Amino acid sequence: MIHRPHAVLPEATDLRRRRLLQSLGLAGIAAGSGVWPGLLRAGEHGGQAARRGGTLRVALPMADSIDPLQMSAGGSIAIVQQVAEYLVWAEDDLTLRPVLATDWAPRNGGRTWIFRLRQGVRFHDGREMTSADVVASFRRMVMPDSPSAASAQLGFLRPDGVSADDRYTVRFELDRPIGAFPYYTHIYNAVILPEDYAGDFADSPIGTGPFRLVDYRPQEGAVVERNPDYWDSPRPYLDRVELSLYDGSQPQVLAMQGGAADVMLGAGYIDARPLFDDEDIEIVAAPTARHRQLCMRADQPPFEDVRVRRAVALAVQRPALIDTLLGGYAALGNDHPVADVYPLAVDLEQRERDLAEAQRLLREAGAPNGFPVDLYIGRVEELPQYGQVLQQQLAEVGIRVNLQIEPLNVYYDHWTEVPFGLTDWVSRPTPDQILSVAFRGDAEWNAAHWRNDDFDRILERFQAEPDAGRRSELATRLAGILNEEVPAMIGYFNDGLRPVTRQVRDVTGNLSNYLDLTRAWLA
Amino acid sequence: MLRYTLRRLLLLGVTLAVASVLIFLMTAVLPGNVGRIVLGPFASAEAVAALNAELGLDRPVLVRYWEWVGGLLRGDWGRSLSLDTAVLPLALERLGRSLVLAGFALVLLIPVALAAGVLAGLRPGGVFDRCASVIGLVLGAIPEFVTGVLLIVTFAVVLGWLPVQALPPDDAGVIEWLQHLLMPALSLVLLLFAYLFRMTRAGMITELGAAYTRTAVLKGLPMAVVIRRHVLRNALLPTITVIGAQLGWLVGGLVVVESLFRYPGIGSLLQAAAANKDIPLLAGAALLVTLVFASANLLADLVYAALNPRVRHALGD
Repeated sequence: MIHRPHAVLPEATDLRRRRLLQSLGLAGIAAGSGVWPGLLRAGEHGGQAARRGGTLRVALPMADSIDPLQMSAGGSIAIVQQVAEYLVWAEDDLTLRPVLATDWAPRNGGRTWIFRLRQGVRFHDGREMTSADVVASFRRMVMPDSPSAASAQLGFLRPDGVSADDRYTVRFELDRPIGAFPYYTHIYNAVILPEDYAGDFADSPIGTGPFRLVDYRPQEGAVVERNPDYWDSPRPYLDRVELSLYDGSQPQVLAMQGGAADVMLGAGYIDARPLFDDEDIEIVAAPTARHRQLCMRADQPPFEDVRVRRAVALAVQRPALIDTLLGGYAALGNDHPVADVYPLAVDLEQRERDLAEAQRLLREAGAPNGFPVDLYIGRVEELPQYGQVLQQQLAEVGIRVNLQIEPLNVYYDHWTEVPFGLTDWVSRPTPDQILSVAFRGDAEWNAAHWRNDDFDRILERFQAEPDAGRRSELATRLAGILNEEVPAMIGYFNDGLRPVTRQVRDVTGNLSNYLDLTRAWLA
Repeated sequence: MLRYTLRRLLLLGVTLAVASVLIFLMTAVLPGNVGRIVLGPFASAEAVAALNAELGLDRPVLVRYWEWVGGLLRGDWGRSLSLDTAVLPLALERLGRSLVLAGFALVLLIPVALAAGVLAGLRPGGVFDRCASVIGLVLGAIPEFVTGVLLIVTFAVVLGWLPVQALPPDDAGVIEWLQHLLMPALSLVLLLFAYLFRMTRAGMITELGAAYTRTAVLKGLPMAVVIRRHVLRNALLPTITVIGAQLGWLVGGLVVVESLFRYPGIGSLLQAAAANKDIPLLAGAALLVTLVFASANLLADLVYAALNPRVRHALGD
């Protein structure tokens, strides 16, 4: 299956699909209009001309630092993304839109990448954006001993590997071929900042973005105003965007209900439920690769025996998880992170619940009566409830789960050490970005401590491969190994839910929960 | 009285010093790691170590404490580790906001609760007393995140009379400020009403039954004068202590109300600083709250002394 089909589904049979179709097109317009969502996407405004002006109010989750080099909180990222830009933007269907780069090409079998930059783009302080700025921005992220949130994802790039061929051409020499490298320039930290950026974004927020930061208050929010010199004129259409930070999702939901916010960056299903019945609010849903990994330490008992790990995967009732925890807003997982949303055809049989087989495997592994085990979970979104459902489901094969639900910062302090942990993984535009940091033998976030040399070799070929057909074939093999060996049980892929009010146009969902407001307008 | 005040102020200094040591020692045992919290779970260990080194967190806690105290004495409260900003202006802005909310809540609360307490105490067991007691107890037992949501849903979502968020726009006038603050203040009033009401009521009942009251009535003073001149003065003493003690909580402890109504005050700042292990911010904000708390208690004691000649004389005035 290549994409989630923009398919001919009987109207009203499946709420979730219908909402997905709506959202893949435009919030609020596709519904019931009888027009194909696909067609709506082609014409940017669904036939209506974008209206200039107005203030959009966006509710964001709490953020800490907005330094682009260090930021990791969703709220910080959404603020920075209005002010500074990437070389490319991955759309919600994973096509790449040229932003600060106009085109790019691999050389040398994907080991070298040449990016041509857009000419005449100006930073907010009037200086022209050139290759020197791009080179400096990438070097900053991969400099050794640099407090960079992105360095872990760019392990194949060295500071001297990025250089300028001329004023508008940047060359990346990678340690090894990376077939999907353009997607890596869309890591959330990889915004292009001036060459002389000094790490003080809150005080001197200079980017090339559609909006200028005019006010920023820690833990309160930011106000951005239209950049009149934006390179992609006449965009943006909005005059002003108020990005407000909220502590927790309930205040955000109340703000949406009470008309104090027009867009909520992202909502978990449980929190957003009151908004589903609200006439004035549309839920823009987009399939993502966001998922939860139930990691089992493969280097110590009880999970060192692959039969035990497989038994866990077989004992889980996945459709029930999706219905109970997410009201159906998720896609089935098959114990590997290559979600359906990726443009890859993974041909693998879906694992289904089989208690008899699970019990047989446990018997063979010498644990006919199961065993007790501590399951560590960070308190975020539906994860605590997920733990409770797992507790019930695994009890049916004798695995007695003792839940250790912890605050997130406590969990993240030892999540790669615990024997049995449930971790929330964000969506990334390519599956390599997850596979290589979570499952490669020497990867830092290999919480299962699982190692398979075949897997590592195939992964390296997959990462290097630019051809779509061969990527699919390799992805199938990688997924097959993970499905067979189960270092982590992956039950589902969450849909991204983005509530917007009805007068908001052209705010799409996003695989990575990024926020692009260049095309947004208010009806 | 002057000597007493000076002594109390000196004690306040000691309190603050001890509090700052405790805060620093506490952060040493708090779970989590600043670099990891800022950079996120998927940053590399080297990057986290680099950030911690850049922030100076690889040095012993005592060294950092010493530097922090030194900075403080020079008037430099340091920079927040996680919020790209200086501590003092941020903490002062938040403190100011918290004081406004606490003040507004007290202005609504005190007259209502005192009046109700006095009325109920005049006729214990009467209809008014029973109604006010039951209603107050019920409201006081409902946590503020429940009353808060009920208030928002009723007045902001359904009726649309009041704004959902408590944070007013920058150019808001006084009326608009009060409109924004009404719901959060109300949720605090509902929570605290029972406490204050019962203190006042109990004080009234005790003093009305006291021998001096009977004497005053028997010597022929009108009831209104007895209550105003004799009973109230004594009956309100414990209530004043209670108000002083609540002020500290109203200013520094309002995490739930502040997040629910999106009114970033010093309570949520403290909570975030603790969660982020942001030590300079936590220490600075906690110091300000300690200062407010101690000052409120001092003020309550001074008012108490002013109302109660026995205390005044004991202080050697």
